[in-house]
Amino acid sequence: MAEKIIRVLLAKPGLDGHDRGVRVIAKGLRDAGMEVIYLGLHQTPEDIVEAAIQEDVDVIGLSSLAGAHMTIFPKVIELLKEKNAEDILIVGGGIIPEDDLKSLEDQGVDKLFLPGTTITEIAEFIRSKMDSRAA
Amino acid sequence: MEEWTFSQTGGGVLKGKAMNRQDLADRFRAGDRRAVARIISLIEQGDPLGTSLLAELYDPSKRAIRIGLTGAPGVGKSTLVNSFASILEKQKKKIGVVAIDPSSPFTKGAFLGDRVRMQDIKGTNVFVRSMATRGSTGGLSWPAWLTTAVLEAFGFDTIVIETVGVGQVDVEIRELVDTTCVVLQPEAGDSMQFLKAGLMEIADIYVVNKADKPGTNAMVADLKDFVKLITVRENGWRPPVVLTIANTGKGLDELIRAIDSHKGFLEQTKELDEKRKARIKRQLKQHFYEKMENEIWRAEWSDTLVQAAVNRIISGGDALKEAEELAASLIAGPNPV
Amino acid sequence: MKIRDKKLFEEEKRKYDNKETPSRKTPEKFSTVSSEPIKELYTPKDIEHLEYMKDLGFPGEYPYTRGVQTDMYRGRTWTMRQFAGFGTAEESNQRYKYLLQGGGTGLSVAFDMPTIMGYDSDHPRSLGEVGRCGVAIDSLEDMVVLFDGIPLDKVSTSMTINGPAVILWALYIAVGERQGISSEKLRGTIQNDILKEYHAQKSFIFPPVQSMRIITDIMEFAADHVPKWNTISISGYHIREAGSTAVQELAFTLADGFAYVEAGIAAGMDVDKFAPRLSFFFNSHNDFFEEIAKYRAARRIWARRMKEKYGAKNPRSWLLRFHTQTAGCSLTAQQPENNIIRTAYQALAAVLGGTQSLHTNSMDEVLALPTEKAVTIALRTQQIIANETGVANTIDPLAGSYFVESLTDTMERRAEEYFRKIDDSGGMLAAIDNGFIRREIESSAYRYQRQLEKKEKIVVGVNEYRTNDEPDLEILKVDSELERKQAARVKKLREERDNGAVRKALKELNDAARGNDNIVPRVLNAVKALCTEGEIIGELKKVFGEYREPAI
Repeated sequence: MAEKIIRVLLAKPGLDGHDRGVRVIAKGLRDAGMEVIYLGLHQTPEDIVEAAIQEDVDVIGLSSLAGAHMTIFPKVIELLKEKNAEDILIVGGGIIPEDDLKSLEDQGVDKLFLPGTTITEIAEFIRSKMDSRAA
Repeated sequence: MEEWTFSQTGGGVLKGKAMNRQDLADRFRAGDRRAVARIISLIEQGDPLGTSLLAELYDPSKRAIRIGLTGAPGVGKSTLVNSFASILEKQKKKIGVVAIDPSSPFTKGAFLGDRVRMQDIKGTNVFVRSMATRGSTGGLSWPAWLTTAVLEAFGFDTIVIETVGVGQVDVEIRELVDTTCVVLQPEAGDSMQFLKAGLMEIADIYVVNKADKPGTNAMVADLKDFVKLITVRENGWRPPVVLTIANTGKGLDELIRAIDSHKGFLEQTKELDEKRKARIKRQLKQHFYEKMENEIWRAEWSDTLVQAAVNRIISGGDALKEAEELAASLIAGPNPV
Repeated sequence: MKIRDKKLFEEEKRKYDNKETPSRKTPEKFSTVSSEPIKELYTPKDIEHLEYMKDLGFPGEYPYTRGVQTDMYRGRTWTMRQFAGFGTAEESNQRYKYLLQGGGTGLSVAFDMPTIMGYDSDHPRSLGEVGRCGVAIDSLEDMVVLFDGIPLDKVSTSMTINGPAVILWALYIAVGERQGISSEKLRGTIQNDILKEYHAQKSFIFPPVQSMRIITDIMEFAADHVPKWNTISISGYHIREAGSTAVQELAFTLADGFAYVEAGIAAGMDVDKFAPRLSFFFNSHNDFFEEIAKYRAARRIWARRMKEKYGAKNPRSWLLRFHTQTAGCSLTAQQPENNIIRTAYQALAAVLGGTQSLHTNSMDEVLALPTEKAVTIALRTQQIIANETGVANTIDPLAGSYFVESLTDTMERRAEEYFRKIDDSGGMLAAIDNGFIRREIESSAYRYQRQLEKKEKIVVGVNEYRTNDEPDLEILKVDSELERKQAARVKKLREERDNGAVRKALKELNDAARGNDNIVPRVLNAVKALCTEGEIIGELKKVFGEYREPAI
């Protein structure tokens, strides 16, 4: 049997175009042996969830730098629940204030990474989550 | 029948409520897109449940027209797929798209970015799957083959396969699809660059995308000369040259007409059926190869025979003779009568 | 500097060149933050090819390596321009007044994302983003409030806006009219640098060719009616923030500048008519000397090209004047107080590099919008440099340093290599189209990330010297009620205004965009007829189309 390769969907929701972080992470996760499906800028929660389902990904990673995280993350989670797909791991990164961070993790975001996180840390987090679920 | 859940596939990761085989098949038949996506994943992970479900769900009455788009990176294939599929979607067609990009041979990872250019096809009648080549030598992995069959069984009437045209994949894509479109773009100062692309022998249709760029006219003229001289297909089809500007949708109607007319031609010459038979044959062959690989070549008993033959060759044995004898023993099986 | 004993000099120098030091084994560690290799020692040998009057010259004289003014900061210190704006127009207006009273000498307006992308506050895409990263402006109503009580002939205003720059500029002119101030008296800058959006910041609206047409219309209108306005602030800042090296920032920014100059000439304008109103905006990152060398090289390259290649006769066309902002991307969420120190060094580099104006980042900007306290510390940082360190007492104090002159020269040479590559691929628009610039920046960003992971580059508090307990920093919150209020405001405007006049103004704009007439007067009419920003952008999209991001 061919081995399982982790599939990650990365998107940049919201209106801003600061995609340095998400693109660097896309390359980093690719080099960490994952398949990265990159959606690009200005993605709506509906776009993200539909793509995640079609691509049958293990992880959704969202980047937010302009403050729309409190609207977008909860909406993505809600839509995933609607589609019975809430088991997809949700991670995020960007400029996210402490209070919002706690609130989002309470609402079901699995992990939020702040500026300064290494790709190695992100990849390790994803792998450990995948391993614990498969076990 | 054995009960399968995803947690048992080793494919890994448990997703959603554990759907068993029956549940998955039912949901597939009911048109659940998540079920299609999951079956493709199973196939991609080499899980026998995937192929077995595909066999169960196969329906010979469901036939899709298959279109291949191939060409160098950056010529605008994804943008073409985007414009093409959004037009078909408006005509109430159901479109399945398989976008294939290379895996890194070192890390096995891949960057699959085709969806960035497919922002207009988010309706429920389009389904896009990005796939990595996952180490297949040709560039068109076997799971990609099967994925087109899954999409066909699901009821998509048009299937588009997008590949980066390199080497072996070119020949393979011709086998997999009914109509092969080779996508090119004008390059200023080098109107004959298409000859270097190594894609010229396989096209049913040539698409010159970005046809508003400088160098278009020269390239199209050269391409038309080339078509006249060389590429009349053995069956008598003369590949047309279609000009498009994918990001504005210009030329797409003409491309759709060209595809339709190629389809008409294939129907008329009965080639459409031939192609289909060839695909089934190819799948049988692949299945046979995999079976040989997994059940004979990788088996413990065969390894002993192989090692013995290797040792005899190294110490001066007749290599050809050894090879013939080994093949005969392997075909005979572990316990020859 | 004379070398009397040449033999002894060569002997000593050779010892250095051949020395086996630990630094030779780990060259990455001793390269700049941009991976530019740095030698252990620089000597007169490294600058012996330079000719003072040709390569450096006097301040305020061609090729301006030493600065654009004859007296630099002794005449007037740099403008301390702090970028600010958030929430509603009323709140931002309060903040501006506070900054002006506190000794700030110029305004800088940050807009929210919907305004930057050309959506009104009640558009579905604006949801959750209204007033978040800047002020929300939908129409002339909002702009009037934004500058209430601030006489526009007494301030210079910089507006960070690109895709819809022509609209915000027209709004500013219209506010001036309402205050009874003629457009000739208005001073300020619109960023209006669309090319770097395709490379780096990606807040594009229209495709490149159409965007360049709007920009040439603006340059033309400004030359005739708003002569003191800086029409484009050609920006390297965002290129650097997107992960480029210092050399790439320098090269791509100047190459963008040349593309605007060429577009202006191609539109039939005399280069000296518009070039004096072009200004620049650079980043100041952590690598102290590399940054200083970058600014000095930028001035020299611009002057040489403008004079020699584009035939500009007016010395004002040769001048590269620039604003600097310290590097947002260098700030860390970990131990955020350290950002004060980083920002101070970056600010010092900008001053030693001869900047005309400066924004210093607040320590908490990596966490959220800055608090008033953090903004004050950032401003005080500049005041300390200006008043306490003494660095502004003499002009270009690092000139003649073997290292700085050699690095300046290297930066120029490396930039020239990029200009050649861009020319080879068919010019800037072709280089955007084929993805060359974007790929170069992205691979630098990725390389830097790898260097951090391998600890070849150290960032304090991030990959070394970490602490476990992070101090709680007080954070500014944006009221979420604001979005609802702002959306209601624009809805009400649409009901109450003269919609016949709106339709007429949009129709005339559409006609101008289709034809060859300058669109600026039509945009001005449209904003005065109370068309919203989203309506004007929507009308232009009908004619110009929209740009989509490329995949790779």
